[in-house]
Amino acid sequence: MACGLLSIGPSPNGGIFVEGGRVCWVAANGLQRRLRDLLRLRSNLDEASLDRLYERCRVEGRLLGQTLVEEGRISANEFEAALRLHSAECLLYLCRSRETVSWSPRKGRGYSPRFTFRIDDLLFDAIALLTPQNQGTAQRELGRLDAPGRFGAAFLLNAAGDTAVPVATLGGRPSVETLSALGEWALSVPKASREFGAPTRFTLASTSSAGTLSVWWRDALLFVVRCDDRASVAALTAHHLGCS
Amino acid sequence: MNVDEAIARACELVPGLVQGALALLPEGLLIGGVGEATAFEHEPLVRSASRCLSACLLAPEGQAPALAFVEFLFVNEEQVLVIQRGRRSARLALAIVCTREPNLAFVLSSTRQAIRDIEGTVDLAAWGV
Repeated sequence: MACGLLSIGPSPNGGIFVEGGRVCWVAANGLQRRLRDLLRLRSNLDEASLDRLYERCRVEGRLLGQTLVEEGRISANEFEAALRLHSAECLLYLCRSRETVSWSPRKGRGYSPRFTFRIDDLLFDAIALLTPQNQGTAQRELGRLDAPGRFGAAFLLNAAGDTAVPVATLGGRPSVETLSALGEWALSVPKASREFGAPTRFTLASTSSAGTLSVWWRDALLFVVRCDDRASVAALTAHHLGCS
Repeated sequence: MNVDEAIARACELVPGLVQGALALLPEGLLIGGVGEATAFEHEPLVRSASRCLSACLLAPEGQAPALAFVEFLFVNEEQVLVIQRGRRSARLALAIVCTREPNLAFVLSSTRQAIRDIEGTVDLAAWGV
Protein backbone atom coordinates (compact mmCIF):
# COMPACT_ATOMS: atom_id res chain seq x y z
CA MET A 1 0.00 0.00 0.00
CA ALA A 2 1.18 3.50 -0.87
CA CYS A 3 3.00 5.47 1.80
CA GLY A 4 4.41 8.89 1.10
CA LEU A 5 3.85 12.55 0.49
CA LEU A 6 2.09 14.08 -2.49
CA SER A 7 3.59 17.57 -2.70
CA ILE A 8 1.96 20.40 -4.57
CA GLY A 9 4.37 23.01 -5.92
CA PRO A 10 8.17 23.11 -6.11
CA SER A 11 8.63 24.73 -2.68
CA PRO A 12 5.57 22.99 -1.64
CA ASN A 13 2.36 24.93 -1.22
CA GLY A 14 1.16 21.96 0.68
CA GLY A 15 0.82 18.24 0.55
CA ILE A 16 -1.15 15.11 1.25
CA PHE A 17 0.40 12.46 3.47
CA VAL A 18 -0.73 8.94 2.71
CA GLU A 19 -0.06 5.80 4.75
CA GLY A 20 -1.42 2.37 3.92
CA GLY A 21 -3.48 3.88 1.09
CA ARG A 22 -5.29 6.19 3.51
CA VAL A 23 -4.94 9.93 3.92
CA CYS A 24 -3.33 10.87 7.23
CA TRP A 25 -3.42 14.62 6.73
CA VAL A 26 -3.65 17.34 4.16
CA ALA A 27 -1.74 20.55 4.73
CA ALA A 28 -1.68 23.84 2.88
CA ASN A 29 0.52 26.85 3.44
CA GLY A 30 -1.45 29.52 5.21
CA LEU A 31 -3.94 27.11 6.81
CA GLN A 32 -1.75 25.85 9.66
CA ARG A 33 -3.38 28.31 12.03
CA ARG A 34 -6.79 26.97 11.07
CA LEU A 35 -6.03 23.47 12.40
CA ARG A 36 -4.72 24.92 15.60
CA ASP A 37 -7.95 26.95 16.02
CA LEU A 38 -10.12 23.92 15.28
CA LEU A 39 -8.26 21.81 17.84
CA ARG A 40 -8.34 24.51 20.48
CA LEU A 41 -12.07 25.08 20.03
CA ARG A 42 -12.82 21.38 20.36
CA SER A 43 -10.34 20.55 23.16
CA ASN A 44 -10.10 21.60 26.77
CA LEU A 45 -6.80 23.41 26.23
CA ASP A 46 -6.14 27.11 26.04
CA GLU A 47 -3.73 28.52 23.51
CA ALA A 48 -0.67 28.47 25.77
CA SER A 49 -1.29 24.87 26.88
CA LEU A 50 -1.74 23.78 23.27
CA ASP A 51 1.60 25.44 22.43
CA ARG A 52 3.31 23.61 25.27
CA LEU A 53 1.82 20.28 24.23
CA TYR A 54 2.85 20.89 20.62
CA GLU A 55 6.43 21.58 21.71
CA ARG A 56 6.50 18.47 23.89
CA CYS A 57 5.25 16.31 21.03
CA ARG A 58 7.83 17.80 18.70
CA VAL A 59 10.70 17.04 21.11
CA GLU A 60 9.44 13.51 21.86
CA GLY A 61 8.62 12.75 18.21
CA ARG A 62 4.98 12.05 19.02
CA LEU A 63 1.92 12.81 16.95
CA LEU A 64 0.09 15.85 18.32
CA GLY A 65 -3.43 14.75 17.56
CA GLN A 66 -3.09 11.25 18.92
CA THR A 67 -1.42 12.64 22.04
CA LEU A 68 -4.31 15.06 22.55
CA VAL A 69 -6.71 12.12 22.44
CA GLU A 70 -4.55 9.79 24.57
CA GLU A 71 -4.23 12.44 27.26
CA GLY A 72 -7.96 13.13 27.26
CA ARG A 73 -7.63 16.67 25.95
CA ILE A 74 -10.06 16.09 23.11
CA SER A 75 -12.49 13.27 22.35
CA ALA A 76 -11.61 10.92 19.50
CA ASN A 77 -14.77 11.98 17.64
CA GLU A 78 -14.00 15.66 18.01
CA PHE A 79 -10.42 15.16 16.87
CA GLU A 80 -11.53 13.14 13.87
CA ALA A 81 -14.08 15.83 12.93
CA ALA A 82 -11.51 18.62 13.26
CA LEU A 83 -8.92 16.76 11.23
CA ARG A 84 -11.38 15.85 8.48
CA LEU A 85 -12.68 19.40 8.24
CA HIS A 86 -9.19 20.83 8.09
CA SER A 87 -8.07 18.23 5.54
CA ALA A 88 -11.09 19.00 3.34
CA GLU A 89 -10.42 22.74 3.54
CA CYS A 90 -6.77 22.21 2.63
CA LEU A 91 -7.73 19.85 -0.20
CA LEU A 92 -9.96 22.54 -1.73
CA TYR A 93 -7.16 25.08 -1.39
CA LEU A 94 -4.65 22.74 -3.03
CA CYS A 95 -7.06 21.87 -5.86
CA ARG A 96 -7.11 25.52 -6.87
CA SER A 97 -3.35 25.45 -7.30
CA ARG A 98 -1.92 25.00 -10.77
CA GLU A 99 1.46 23.99 -9.39
CA THR A 100 3.11 20.73 -10.34
CA VAL A 101 2.42 17.66 -8.25
CA SER A 102 5.14 15.25 -7.16
CA TRP A 103 5.11 12.03 -5.15
CA SER A 104 7.86 11.08 -2.69
CA PRO A 105 7.70 7.71 -0.95
CA ARG A 106 8.15 8.01 2.80
CA LYS A 107 8.35 5.67 5.75
CA GLY A 108 5.11 5.33 7.66
CA ARG A 109 4.77 7.18 10.94
CA GLY A 110 2.28 4.80 12.45
CA TYR A 111 -0.84 6.94 12.28
CA SER A 112 -3.80 5.38 13.99
CA PRO A 113 -6.26 4.12 11.34
CA ARG A 114 -8.99 5.77 13.44
CA PHE A 115 -7.57 9.14 12.43
CA THR A 116 -6.80 8.45 8.79
CA PHE A 117 -9.37 8.71 6.02
CA ARG A 118 -10.43 7.08 2.81
CA ILE A 119 -9.75 9.27 -0.21
CA ASP A 120 -13.43 9.30 -1.17
CA ASP A 121 -14.43 10.41 2.35
CA LEU A 122 -12.25 13.47 1.98
CA LEU A 123 -13.46 14.06 -1.54
CA PHE A 124 -17.09 14.15 -0.38
CA ASP A 125 -16.15 16.32 2.62
CA ALA A 126 -14.51 18.80 0.25
CA ILE A 127 -17.58 18.78 -2.00
CA ALA A 128 -19.79 19.44 1.05
CA LEU A 129 -17.75 22.57 1.71
CA LEU A 130 -17.63 23.62 -1.93
CA THR A 131 -21.25 23.13 -2.92
CA PRO A 132 -23.43 21.90 -0.05
CA GLN A 133 -26.67 22.62 -1.91
CA ASN A 134 -25.76 20.47 -4.90
CA GLN A 135 -24.55 17.67 -2.64
CA GLY A 136 -27.78 17.80 -0.66
CA THR A 137 -29.90 17.74 -3.81
CA ALA A 138 -27.89 14.81 -5.19
CA GLN A 139 -28.15 12.84 -1.94
CA ARG A 140 -31.92 13.36 -1.76
CA GLU A 141 -32.45 12.36 -5.39
CA LEU A 142 -30.32 9.23 -5.08
CA GLY A 143 -31.87 8.44 -1.71
CA ARG A 144 -35.32 8.24 -3.33
CA LEU A 145 -33.99 5.53 -5.67
CA ASP A 146 -32.29 3.39 -3.06
CA ALA A 147 -33.14 -0.30 -3.53
CA PRO A 148 -31.28 -3.62 -3.46
CA GLY A 149 -29.21 -4.25 -6.59
CA ARG A 150 -28.78 -0.59 -7.43
CA PHE A 151 -25.55 1.29 -7.46
CA GLY A 152 -25.12 4.85 -8.58
CA ALA A 153 -23.52 8.21 -8.23
CA ALA A 154 -24.17 11.86 -8.86
CA PHE A 155 -21.62 14.17 -10.42
CA LEU A 156 -21.20 17.91 -10.52
CA LEU A 157 -20.64 19.18 -14.05
CA ASN A 158 -18.51 22.17 -14.88
CA ALA A 159 -19.95 24.91 -17.11
CA ALA A 160 -18.50 23.36 -20.26
CA GLY A 161 -19.97 19.97 -19.36
CA ASP A 162 -16.68 18.19 -19.82
CA THR A 163 -15.73 17.46 -16.21
CA ALA A 164 -17.75 15.35 -13.78
CA VAL A 165 -16.82 15.51 -10.09
CA PRO A 166 -18.48 12.89 -7.86
CA VAL A 167 -20.70 14.47 -5.19
CA ALA A 168 -22.76 11.56 -3.81
CA THR A 169 -23.17 7.81 -4.17
CA LEU A 170 -25.94 5.24 -3.92
CA GLY A 171 -25.62 1.61 -2.82
CA GLY A 172 -22.14 1.51 -1.33
CA ARG A 173 -18.93 3.37 -1.74
CA PRO A 174 -16.92 2.46 -4.84
CA SER A 175 -13.29 3.46 -5.25
CA VAL A 176 -12.43 6.93 -6.53
CA GLU A 177 -11.08 5.29 -9.71
CA THR A 178 -14.41 3.57 -10.34
CA LEU A 179 -16.33 6.78 -9.71
CA SER A 180 -14.01 8.72 -11.95
CA ALA A 181 -14.42 6.22 -14.81
CA LEU A 182 -18.21 6.24 -14.37
CA GLY A 183 -18.32 10.03 -14.48
CA GLU A 184 -16.10 10.22 -17.52
CA TRP A 185 -18.25 7.71 -19.38
CA ALA A 186 -21.52 9.36 -18.33
CA LEU A 187 -20.39 12.69 -19.81
CA SER A 188 -20.84 11.15 -23.26
CA VAL A 189 -24.60 10.77 -22.71
CA PRO A 190 -25.57 14.48 -22.36
CA LYS A 191 -23.15 15.22 -25.20
CA ALA A 192 -24.98 12.73 -27.41
CA SER A 193 -28.29 14.23 -26.33
CA ARG A 194 -27.15 17.73 -27.28
CA GLU A 195 -26.34 16.49 -30.77
CA PHE A 196 -29.93 15.31 -31.08
CA GLY A 197 -31.17 18.70 -29.94
CA ALA A 198 -34.20 18.02 -27.74
CA PRO A 199 -33.92 18.24 -23.92
CA THR A 200 -33.73 14.69 -22.61
CA ARG A 201 -35.74 13.55 -19.61
CA PHE A 202 -33.74 10.40 -18.97
CA THR A 203 -31.69 7.78 -20.78
CA LEU A 204 -31.00 4.08 -20.50
CA ALA A 205 -27.73 2.53 -21.64
CA SER A 206 -27.35 -1.24 -21.85
CA THR A 207 -24.47 -3.59 -22.43
CA SER A 208 -24.98 -7.00 -23.98
CA SER A 209 -24.50 -8.73 -20.62
CA ALA A 210 -23.68 -6.45 -17.73
CA GLY A 211 -26.93 -4.68 -17.03
CA THR A 212 -28.41 -1.29 -17.66
CA LEU A 213 -27.46 2.18 -16.53
CA SER A 214 -29.89 5.04 -16.30
CA VAL A 215 -28.38 8.48 -16.85
CA TRP A 216 -30.12 11.81 -16.39
CA TRP A 217 -29.09 15.35 -15.62
CA ARG A 218 -30.60 18.44 -14.12
CA ASP A 219 -28.89 21.84 -13.84
CA ALA A 220 -25.29 21.10 -12.91
CA LEU A 221 -25.90 17.56 -11.66
CA LEU A 222 -25.46 14.37 -13.65
CA PHE A 223 -26.88 11.12 -12.23
CA VAL A 224 -25.99 7.55 -13.09
CA VAL A 225 -27.72 4.52 -11.57
CA ARG A 226 -26.89 0.97 -12.47
CA CYS A 227 -29.61 -1.67 -12.26
CA ASP A 228 -28.75 -5.34 -12.03
CA ASP A 229 -32.15 -6.70 -13.08
CA ARG A 230 -35.03 -5.89 -15.40
CA ALA A 231 -37.46 -5.23 -12.56
CA SER A 232 -35.16 -2.53 -11.28
CA VAL A 233 -34.86 -0.99 -14.77
CA ALA A 234 -38.65 -0.98 -15.05
CA ALA A 235 -39.05 0.63 -11.63
CA LEU A 236 -36.49 3.32 -12.41
CA THR A 237 -38.10 4.02 -15.79
CA ALA A 238 -41.49 4.36 -14.10
CA HIS A 239 -39.94 6.78 -11.64
CA HIS A 240 -38.60 8.95 -14.47
CA LEU A 241 -41.89 8.86 -16.32
CA GLY A 242 -43.73 9.86 -13.18
CA CYS A 243 -45.63 6.56 -12.99
CA SER A 244 -44.26 5.38 -9.65
CA MET B 1 -33.64 -3.47 -53.11
CA ASN B 2 -31.37 -0.56 -52.21
CA VAL B 3 -30.01 0.16 -48.73
CA ASP B 4 -32.72 2.68 -47.82
CA GLU B 5 -35.45 0.23 -48.82
CA ALA B 6 -33.82 -2.53 -46.79
CA ILE B 7 -33.59 -0.28 -43.73
CA ALA B 8 -37.22 0.75 -44.18
CA ARG B 9 -38.30 -2.87 -44.38
CA ALA B 10 -36.29 -3.80 -41.27
CA CYS B 11 -37.89 -0.91 -39.38
CA GLU B 12 -41.45 -1.63 -40.50
CA LEU B 13 -42.42 -3.03 -37.10
CA VAL B 14 -40.94 -0.19 -35.06
CA PRO B 15 -43.95 1.57 -33.51
CA GLY B 16 -44.30 5.32 -33.95
CA LEU B 17 -41.31 5.54 -36.28
CA VAL B 18 -40.45 9.11 -37.26
CA GLN B 19 -37.03 8.70 -38.81
CA GLY B 20 -34.02 6.41 -38.66
CA ALA B 21 -30.42 6.39 -39.78
CA LEU B 22 -27.90 3.62 -40.28
CA ALA B 23 -24.33 4.78 -39.71
CA LEU B 24 -20.81 3.52 -39.84
CA LEU B 25 -18.68 4.13 -36.74
CA PRO B 26 -16.37 5.58 -35.70
CA GLU B 27 -16.29 7.70 -38.86
CA GLY B 28 -19.94 8.68 -38.42
CA LEU B 29 -20.79 8.06 -42.07
CA LEU B 30 -24.47 7.91 -42.97
CA ILE B 31 -25.15 4.65 -44.85
CA GLY B 32 -28.87 5.12 -45.32
CA GLY B 33 -32.07 6.22 -43.69
CA VAL B 34 -35.77 5.74 -43.24
CA GLY B 35 -38.57 8.27 -42.82
CA GLU B 36 -39.29 11.64 -44.37
CA ALA B 37 -36.02 13.17 -43.18
CA THR B 38 -33.27 14.16 -45.58
CA ALA B 39 -29.67 13.03 -45.24
CA PHE B 40 -28.95 16.41 -43.66
CA GLU B 41 -31.69 15.83 -41.09
CA HIS B 42 -30.31 12.37 -40.30
CA GLU B 43 -26.93 13.85 -39.32
CA PRO B 44 -27.81 14.70 -35.69
CA LEU B 45 -28.79 11.04 -35.17
CA VAL B 46 -25.49 9.88 -36.58
CA ARG B 47 -23.55 12.29 -34.36
CA SER B 48 -25.52 11.17 -31.28
CA ALA B 49 -24.82 7.52 -32.08
CA SER B 50 -21.18 8.25 -32.64
CA ARG B 51 -20.90 10.14 -29.33
CA CYS B 52 -22.44 7.51 -27.10
CA LEU B 53 -21.26 4.33 -28.79
CA SER B 54 -17.65 5.47 -28.92
CA ALA B 55 -17.49 5.86 -25.13
CA CYS B 56 -16.53 2.83 -23.04
CA LEU B 57 -16.93 2.52 -19.31
CA LEU B 58 -13.42 1.70 -18.18
CA ALA B 59 -12.90 -0.55 -15.20
CA PRO B 60 -10.10 0.23 -12.74
CA GLU B 61 -6.76 -1.27 -13.69
CA GLY B 62 -6.54 -5.00 -13.09
CA GLN B 63 -10.30 -5.44 -12.78
CA ALA B 64 -12.99 -6.40 -15.29
CA PRO B 65 -12.60 -5.26 -18.91
CA ALA B 66 -14.19 -2.05 -20.15
CA LEU B 67 -17.94 -2.18 -20.69
CA ALA B 68 -19.07 -1.53 -24.26
CA PHE B 69 -22.68 -0.43 -24.59
CA VAL B 70 -24.92 -1.83 -27.31
CA GLU B 71 -28.13 0.10 -26.76
CA PHE B 72 -29.12 3.62 -25.72
CA LEU B 73 -32.57 5.02 -25.13
CA PHE B 74 -33.11 8.78 -24.85
CA VAL B 75 -36.54 9.87 -23.71
CA ASN B 76 -37.66 13.48 -24.12
CA GLU B 77 -41.06 15.14 -23.88
CA GLU B 78 -42.30 14.20 -27.35
CA GLN B 79 -39.96 11.63 -28.80
CA VAL B 80 -37.77 8.66 -28.08
CA LEU B 81 -34.37 8.14 -29.65
CA VAL B 82 -33.02 4.58 -29.66
CA ILE B 83 -29.48 3.79 -30.71
CA GLN B 84 -28.60 0.17 -31.43
CA ARG B 85 -25.05 -0.99 -32.04
CA GLY B 86 -24.64 -3.74 -34.63
CA ARG B 87 -24.66 -7.15 -32.95
CA ARG B 88 -22.37 -8.69 -35.57
CA SER B 89 -20.34 -5.60 -36.37
CA ALA B 90 -19.62 -3.04 -33.67
CA ARG B 91 -18.99 -0.50 -36.44
CA LEU B 92 -22.65 -0.40 -37.36
CA ALA B 93 -25.18 1.81 -35.57
CA LEU B 94 -28.90 2.22 -36.11
CA ALA B 95 -30.47 5.40 -34.64
CA ILE B 96 -34.25 5.51 -34.61
CA VAL B 97 -36.60 8.31 -33.55
CA CYS B 98 -40.12 7.35 -32.49
CA THR B 99 -43.05 9.20 -30.98
CA ARG B 100 -43.54 8.92 -27.21
CA GLU B 101 -46.85 7.08 -27.38
CA PRO B 102 -45.70 3.47 -27.91
CA ASN B 103 -44.58 1.27 -25.06
CA LEU B 104 -40.84 1.73 -24.49
CA ALA B 105 -40.20 -2.00 -24.15
CA PHE B 106 -41.87 -2.55 -27.51
CA VAL B 107 -39.76 0.19 -29.11
CA LEU B 108 -36.59 -1.37 -27.70
CA SER B 109 -37.40 -4.92 -28.74
CA SER B 110 -38.46 -3.88 -32.26
CA THR B 111 -35.31 -1.81 -32.83
CA ARG B 112 -33.17 -4.73 -31.59
CA GLN B 113 -34.84 -6.88 -34.18
CA ALA B 114 -34.39 -4.16 -36.81
CA ILE B 115 -30.60 -4.00 -36.41
CA ARG B 116 -30.46 -7.81 -36.57
CA ASP B 117 -32.55 -7.81 -39.74
CA ILE B 118 -30.39 -5.13 -41.33
CA GLU B 119 -27.23 -7.08 -40.55
CA GLY B 120 -28.86 -10.19 -41.93
CA THR B 121 -30.24 -8.72 -45.14
CA VAL B 122 -28.28 -5.65 -46.21
CA ASP B 123 -25.03 -6.17 -48.06
CA LEU B 124 -22.64 -3.78 -46.40
CA ALA B 125 -19.45 -5.19 -47.87
CA ALA B 126 -18.90 -1.99 -49.80
CA TRP B 127 -18.74 -0.17 -46.47
CA GLY B 128 -16.16 -2.59 -45.11
CA VAL B 129 -18.68 -4.21 -42.74
